[in-house]
Amino acid sequence: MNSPDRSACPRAPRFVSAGSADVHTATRLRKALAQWLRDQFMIDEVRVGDIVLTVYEALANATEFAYLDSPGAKAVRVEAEYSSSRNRLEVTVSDHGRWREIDPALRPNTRGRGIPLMAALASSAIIEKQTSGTVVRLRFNELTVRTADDDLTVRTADVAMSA
Amino acid sequence: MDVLQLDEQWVGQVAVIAASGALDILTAPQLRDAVAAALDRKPTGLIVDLLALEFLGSAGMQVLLDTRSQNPEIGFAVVADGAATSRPLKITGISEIVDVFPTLDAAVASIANITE
Repeated sequence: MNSPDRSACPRAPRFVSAGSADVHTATRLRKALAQWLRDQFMIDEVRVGDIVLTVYEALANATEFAYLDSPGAKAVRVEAEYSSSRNRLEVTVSDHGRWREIDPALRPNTRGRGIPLMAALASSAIIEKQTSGTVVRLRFNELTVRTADDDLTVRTADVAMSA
Repeated sequence: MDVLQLDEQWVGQVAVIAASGALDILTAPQLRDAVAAALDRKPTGLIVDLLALEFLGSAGMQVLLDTRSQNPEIGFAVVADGAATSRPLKITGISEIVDVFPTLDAAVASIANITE
């Protein structure tokens, strides 16, 4: 798998995981994604926390709202794909349901913080309502992949805070 | 750790609920229940200590906001420090609505000042 010239043939880390849209899947995917981020990228815990929380909020919305009106098979899927040329991670959270619209004025105590949180923490957050379901596209810029021959010198140089 | 662990202790008339683990859509109702149980015993103040928390989602943040808005008569403070807790509380603006302190001592001191 090791390429002799990684600049010519960069690795493109990819994470795919799916499950039933429930609270346990949301927790499992959150943890799996956190571990994958630490394994694949030169990343500090602040950024890991930001990305994991953003993706979790998308999962939480899928879990709580996507299948309210549609009993039966409930699925949620997370795909994360890294673009080396753009140093960008794109995470897609998709379900096959429709998020229920909630008017915050009518339901003041209903949590409506997930979407603003996603928008604040991701470089961009787009929610696409498709006929087949809801897709959340989250982008995280300025991520650097961890290379196979990564050493302390590189690590120190590249782990700049991306606050 | 999938679960939320909650420990309640009292500092004088102030109830302190210390949370460890994850505060998310699965576990937020547990904190809501623990807060209600502590409030039933009529504390002068309530502190939710998140120092040992590893994950805080918006469902957990909502419990903190609701606790503040539903109990204006008592002192309420949150203890949080670090990427997993104080950072999302700041980003969401919750730390402007709920008093957040980096240490339990600071939170206790602030409530003592309020209730004196």
